[in-house]
Order: sequence, then structure tokens, then C-alpha cells
Amino acid sequence: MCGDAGRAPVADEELMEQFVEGSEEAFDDLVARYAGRITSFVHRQVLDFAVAEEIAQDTFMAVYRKRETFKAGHKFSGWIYKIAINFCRMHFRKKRSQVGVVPIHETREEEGKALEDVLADDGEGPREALSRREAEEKLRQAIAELPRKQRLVFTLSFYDEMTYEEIGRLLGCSPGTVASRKHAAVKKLASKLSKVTLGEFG
Amino acid sequence: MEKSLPSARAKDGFSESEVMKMKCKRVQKLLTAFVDGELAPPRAASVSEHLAMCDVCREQAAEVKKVLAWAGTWRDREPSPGFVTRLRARIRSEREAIGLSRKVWIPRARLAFAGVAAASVIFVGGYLVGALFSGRAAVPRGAPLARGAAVVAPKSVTAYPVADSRRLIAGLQRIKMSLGSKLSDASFNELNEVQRALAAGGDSSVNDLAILEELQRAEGLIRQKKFALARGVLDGIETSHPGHPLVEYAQMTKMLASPQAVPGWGLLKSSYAMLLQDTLVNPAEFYNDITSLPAQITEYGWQSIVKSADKLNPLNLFDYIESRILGRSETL
Repeated sequence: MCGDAGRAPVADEELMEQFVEGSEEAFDDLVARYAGRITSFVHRQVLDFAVAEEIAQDTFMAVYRKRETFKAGHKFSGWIYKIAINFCRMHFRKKRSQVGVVPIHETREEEGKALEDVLADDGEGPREALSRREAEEKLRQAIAELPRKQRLVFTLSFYDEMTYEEIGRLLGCSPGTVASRKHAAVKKLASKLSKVTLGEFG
Repeated sequence: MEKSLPSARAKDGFSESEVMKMKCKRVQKLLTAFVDGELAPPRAASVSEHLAMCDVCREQAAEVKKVLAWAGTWRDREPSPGFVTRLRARIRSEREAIGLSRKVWIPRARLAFAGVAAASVIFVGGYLVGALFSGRAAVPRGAPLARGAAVVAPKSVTAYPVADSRRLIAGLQRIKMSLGSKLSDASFNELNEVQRALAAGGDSSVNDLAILEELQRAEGLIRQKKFALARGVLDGIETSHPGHPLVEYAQMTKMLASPQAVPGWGLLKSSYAMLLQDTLVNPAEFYNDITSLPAQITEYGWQSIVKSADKLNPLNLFDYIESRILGRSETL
């Protein structure tokens, strides 16, 4: 459908329209486009990859079920992020009401990975790989410790590459609020970074 | 800062003294947005001029860049290979549940109506009808729905496991207890009626599912802005099933099927549509919600449940709508 090389890719919204009209293939295309993005986005909010995959699945199920509520003229990406954010909120609400929940530090998972695999990434040398891994672990920890709203804004801006205005539209707040939340997040991360003994950033 | 600086104008129109007057504190607050390229050009220019002159702020800007570089060490993981297969399986099983095994579905769906009705007594009957149509929000008095009308408890609740009905009754009892003071007398009585109907079993109706489908068809038409057609479908429900409890839904849905130009009406309509849809679009989910209430109470405690119910409360929705109409930005 959209695989032909040299042709402009079909817009998400167009795929969504085809899906609403009954094309399951269009839905598959949307899943292929967004599965990674949404899973990663949710992962950065809930910091547990297995939970993130579950929430991403719920998100796509909601897209499937509620396809008719997608409003023509709106952006598909905004819609699906909104759904994913709502599922994250539900997840946190549920978690909060459970007694004695310990924050998840998911760095363990990466540790389970064979060292060779880590070293083999991108052909970096062993030392670079180790220091990268260490920095990444500390980063995950630092992001996990950000207040939820700041984490949401910071990750949407940095990793999902949304503008302040797009984020504001998504969260129902002003770009100014987005700016101050992101700045607060950066300040918090900076205070954590000073404790990381790696000097090669910047 | 220094007032004696020469007032040579930079090319963006800012004089040096103006730039220096920008307090470091103010500049530092803007640094993240500056690095992100999110500042308006004149402001960005004055920040960069300030940075050229101020070591402290320049260092802070470098720190922001360092943090962002650090953030760049995060590596995304690919979804597991079975991701799409699992998703497909979920979709398939849901489709089969709705399409093929209707014999299994009907009793469950019917049970869900009890839930729908119960919820509507609480969320719609108690608040929406009472509060909205007494003029709390900007809604025309001549709205199709008669003022004070409320969704009636279904008389048709049969063919469900006894244990489920007990749980439902217990759940409703607890709802009454916790929301007691918030519920109007009428809603309270209606909850009683739902409980009685559940306890007694009542007479069954084969039309529930058909009406539900018609309601959904009408909703679809409304979404396509085919209001006249939608009204036709809704009138059809009324005339062919007089006295059926779900007819009330049809009457309420008509509210959505009239294009009216009142401030906030569109928002109100879409909120109401959302409310309706959440109760009707997936009866199985709703059934699960309501039957798992007692278990949830044990697990989470009443306070958190009431708190989240409070968030779903249409009154909050209307506060939200009002604040949106008034131009305040607020998240729900």
C-alpha cells in the first residue's frame, strides 16, 4: 500500500481514514509505525518495559475499538499519545492505591543482558560501552526520580521531539507551563548529573 | 546593572544596556527553552547577547546542553517480537466475543445494562440531569430531554449467575453508602429499584441488544453530523419499544442529535458523547468494572475509589467545560 519506494508515504491520518472505512491492513500499518514509539514513550513514563508493552497494547486496542471517535482533521499522533497518556495515568492511579509499592528500578533488566551483547552494540570499544552503560543506568534512575508531570514534559520534548506548543495542546496547558516544567526537569537532572563521574557530555 | 553602558543598538534593536538589564535569574529560567530553540527570535537574540557577556549564565547554558547530551544516552528497546501477534490475538478474541458467540454474549450484555443503568443513576441521573438541566452549565432550557427525567432501572435482569448478582447488589449498596449525601432522593430511590430488580430477577427482554445496536448506530450518525438520520433512528427506538428502560437513553442521545449554537455546546456534546460511549461501547468492560467493585473495595479501599469516581463525576466535567469556556486552561 505504502511500500512503493519513491512515493510519498501515506499520512497517518489517511491510514486512519482507511481503517475507519474497514481496512485492517491500514491498522496494521499504523501499528507498525507506532508500536516502537508508543512502547518507548510509555516505558519512559512507567519505567518497566513489561508494563510498557501492556499499556502500549491497551493503547492500540483503544485505537481499534474507538476508531470512529477519531476526528477528521486532527492529528493521529496527538490522538494516540493522548490515549497512551490516559492509560499511564490509570496505571499510576492504580499503583498509588496499592499499599507499599516500591518504585521500580528497571536497570536490572539491562544487567541481565550478556556483557558481550552490550559490548557488541555499534562496534564501540569495551570501555566506551561500559561508561555508556553506566551513564545510561544513572540516567534511567534520574528520570525515574523526576516528578511525573516533569518527566512527561521532558520526555515528550526530548525523545518524542514535540514542540512546546504540541505538548501544551496534548496536555491542555500553555507552552509557558511546558517550558517551565521542562526547565525544572533539566535542573533536577543537572543536579543528578553532577554526581555522575562522566565528564564527556557537552 | 550598569547604566553607563553605551546605548549602541544591536541589529535586532536591543541596546546593550537593555541586554545587560536582563537579570541573570531571568535569563537562566529561559535557558532550556533557548537551547531547545523555542524562544521567539528577539528574545533568543537578547539571551544570546547576554550569554556573550555573562560567564555565569554561559556556564548554566553549558550545563543544560550537558544534561541533554546525557539524556541522549537512553536507548529505546524494540517491542518484543510477539507484540503484533498478541495484539492481533486480542482483537480477534474480542471480535469473536461480539460477533460469533452471541448466545454467550447476550446474558452478559444484559447484565451490563444493569451496570449501565446503575452508573447512569449515579453519574447521569444524579448529576447530569439534575445539575445540568437546572441551568448550571450553558444549556438551552428547551433541550430535548425533559428536566428531571432520569434513567430508570431496568426491569429485565435475568440469566446471570447468582453470585454475580449478589456482588452487584453489594456493590450498589456500598455506592449508596458512600455517595449517600451526594445523591438526590430520586437517584437514591432508583438505585434501590435497581437493587430490587437485581434481587428479584425480573422479566427478560430480547430487545436489549437490538436497542443497543440501534443506539450505537445513532451515535455513529451523530458523529458524521447526520443529525436528521440519527433522530430518525432514535425515534424508531422510542416508537418500537415503548416503556423499555433503554428508551431513556435514546431520548438523552437526542440531545446530541441537534446542532445548536450555544457557547460551549460542542464541548458539552462531545463530553456527553464520551460519557455515553464509555458506558455503552464495551458492555463487557463495564460489566467487569461493576462486578469487580467489591473486590476493588477490599483491595484499594473506599476512599481511593470514591476519589476516582469523583473524577468521573460529570459535575467535574462541567467545571472543566466552564473553565474552558471562560478561557482558563485547566486539565481534567
